[in-house]
Amino acid sequence: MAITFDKLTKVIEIESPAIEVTIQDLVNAIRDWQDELDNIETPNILSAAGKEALGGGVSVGVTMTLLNGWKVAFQARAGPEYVQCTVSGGNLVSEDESNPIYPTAFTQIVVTASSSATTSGLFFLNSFSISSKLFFDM
Amino acid sequence: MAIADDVSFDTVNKIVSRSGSPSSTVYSVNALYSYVMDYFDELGLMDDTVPMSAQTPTSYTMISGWYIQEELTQFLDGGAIQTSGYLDEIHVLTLDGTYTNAVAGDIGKQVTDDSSEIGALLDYNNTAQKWFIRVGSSTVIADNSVMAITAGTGAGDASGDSVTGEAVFANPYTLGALEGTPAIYIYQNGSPITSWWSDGPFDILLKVAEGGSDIDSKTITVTTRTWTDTYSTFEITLTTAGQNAVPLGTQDDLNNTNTEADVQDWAAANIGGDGTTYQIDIDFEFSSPFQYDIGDGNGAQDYNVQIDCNGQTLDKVYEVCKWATRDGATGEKLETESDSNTINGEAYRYAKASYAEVTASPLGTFAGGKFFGARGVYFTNLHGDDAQNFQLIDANGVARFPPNYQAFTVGGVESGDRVAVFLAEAGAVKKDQYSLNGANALNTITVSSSIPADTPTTGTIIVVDDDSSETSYAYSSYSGSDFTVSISASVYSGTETAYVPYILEQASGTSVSETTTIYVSDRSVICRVRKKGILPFVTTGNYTSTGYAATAIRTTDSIVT
Repeated sequence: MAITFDKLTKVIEIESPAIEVTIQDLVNAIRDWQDELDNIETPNILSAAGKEALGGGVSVGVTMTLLNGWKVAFQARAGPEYVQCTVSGGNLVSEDESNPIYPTAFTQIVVTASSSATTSGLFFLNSFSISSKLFFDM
Repeated sequence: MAIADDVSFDTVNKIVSRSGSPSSTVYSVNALYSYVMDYFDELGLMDDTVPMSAQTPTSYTMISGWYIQEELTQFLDGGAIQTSGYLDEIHVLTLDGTYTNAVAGDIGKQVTDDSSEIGALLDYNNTAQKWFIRVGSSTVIADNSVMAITAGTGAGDASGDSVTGEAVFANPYTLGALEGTPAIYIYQNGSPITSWWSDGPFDILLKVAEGGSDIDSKTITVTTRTWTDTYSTFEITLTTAGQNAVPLGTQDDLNNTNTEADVQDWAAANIGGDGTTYQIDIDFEFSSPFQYDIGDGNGAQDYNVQIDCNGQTLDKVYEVCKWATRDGATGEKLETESDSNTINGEAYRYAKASYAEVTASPLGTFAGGKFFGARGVYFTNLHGDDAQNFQLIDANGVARFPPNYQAFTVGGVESGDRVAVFLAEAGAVKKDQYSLNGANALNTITVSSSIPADTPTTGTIIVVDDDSSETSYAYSSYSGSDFTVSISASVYSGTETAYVPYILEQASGTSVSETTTIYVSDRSVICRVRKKGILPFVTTGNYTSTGYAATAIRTTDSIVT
């Protein structure tokens, strides 16, 4: 799965054909990208919190906050069919409380979110999470 | 002893002199005058003229053709004596040839000019080979005349015609705070005067006119240069009447603590040193001054005095400079005013008379670890630690300061960390630090302003295109407004902006520094340290005249894997 960064539009794009990205994937990719000398002039993109151990191998889920207007997008598809894409494994929010997802053509983004997400048994937790689709059809 | 025991009068030859076995007591001129008045008011001397008159308590005149011997003036103080009546009466003659010293017994005897008696000998100076003769007319003793003394000892040939005219014994005295009891010496007309006065403050009579002519316009230079003390010099034009204060001031020199012998070993043979330990040297150029660029951005300037530090620290250089100009530095090793115009180091005061004199140490002073060079002085072969420990004044009188190399340093990092320091504005990277100036030439990016000296000599220039995309170019040098990079011509049109990080590199140790930058003015900067595995670190601060230093806080990123 390739993730690209556009400094001008401040969009983090998950390239096709990937249809799912985890918060961990995003954190790793962002940290890796922004520590490059070519990108160090860019203000910080994210802060992330979580993973505090709860015991029994369970820990608090990750909440990733995009900073300075950055958003996440899945690469636009050719259509006409919509492709459902998923951001999973934690919470994705924006610093300014705007939608952290950047809309692209013929993609439908599902962002799992929870007020008490944990990282252990992710699929299980997802089933209990509050799901939302882009375009706010929650 | 009373003055009557030390002063005698020769009423036949009109000579006031020291007595045959005088004490070393120094009397005031007023005391002499008082004694004269007392002596000549006796009935037995009423037929003689009075030798002196007084104008003020410190101004006196030898009158009626009376002659005062020079030796006596060396035991007087507190007033000046001029003469009235020497003209066309007393002649001064310098002798050469096979000179035979005159002796005390010659005083009063007739001097012969080519075997003809012309008048009595009043005084003599065997060192200067001068005779003082009462000729009693304006007729000069001609050059090359064979001179002798009837039934006397002294002899020689006239060196030039004799001169006749008034004399002046001015009265300089020192004042001011002196360290200890230093030797004070006088240069008159370029030559040292053999001192008869004691060390410490003095009050003396000094001849400043003879045969009707001033000696160097009555100007003398009074100096005290005692090793381990600061020096002091004062040039003064003495007046005919009254006293003349000579202000001097010295104090212990805390930067001059080594022995003369040690410092002599540091000084090169060219300036009289032994040069056995170091070879600190001093050279002079006047017609074709030395050219030296201190690196302040104003190019090479003229200097007259080059001090070769021989790689030694400036505290040592300072002591050598003092050694070369100390009391006792003779041999004419230094130059002043013009090429090859050598003078004794003890008489050296400046490269040129038009330059401001530094009396405390004529080649420059040392304070707070910094050498302040006198005008026209500069250094070569400085010790590595002294790159900024000096300040100069070029030959044109303009103060020159060494560039203030101040580093950017980011500590607290680990090898592999990516570190950047940028010029900042409002807490963000200032990406319009420069505007490009027209289409770029081959391998050159030209900006529209002069590149400041706080730009790293090599580094990265990042061009921000019109669409805000950025491209980095490594530059190998810069000059004026041009960065030398590897780029094709006309990649940019000139509408773009650019910025140059002060630091942009991957750490290879625990700190990252940029040391080629010269402080120009305060800069707001933003520092970032990033490495996957730690939380991005950012801080802002200021680059000032003391540089910029930040310490990164490396907080482990518990989220990233």
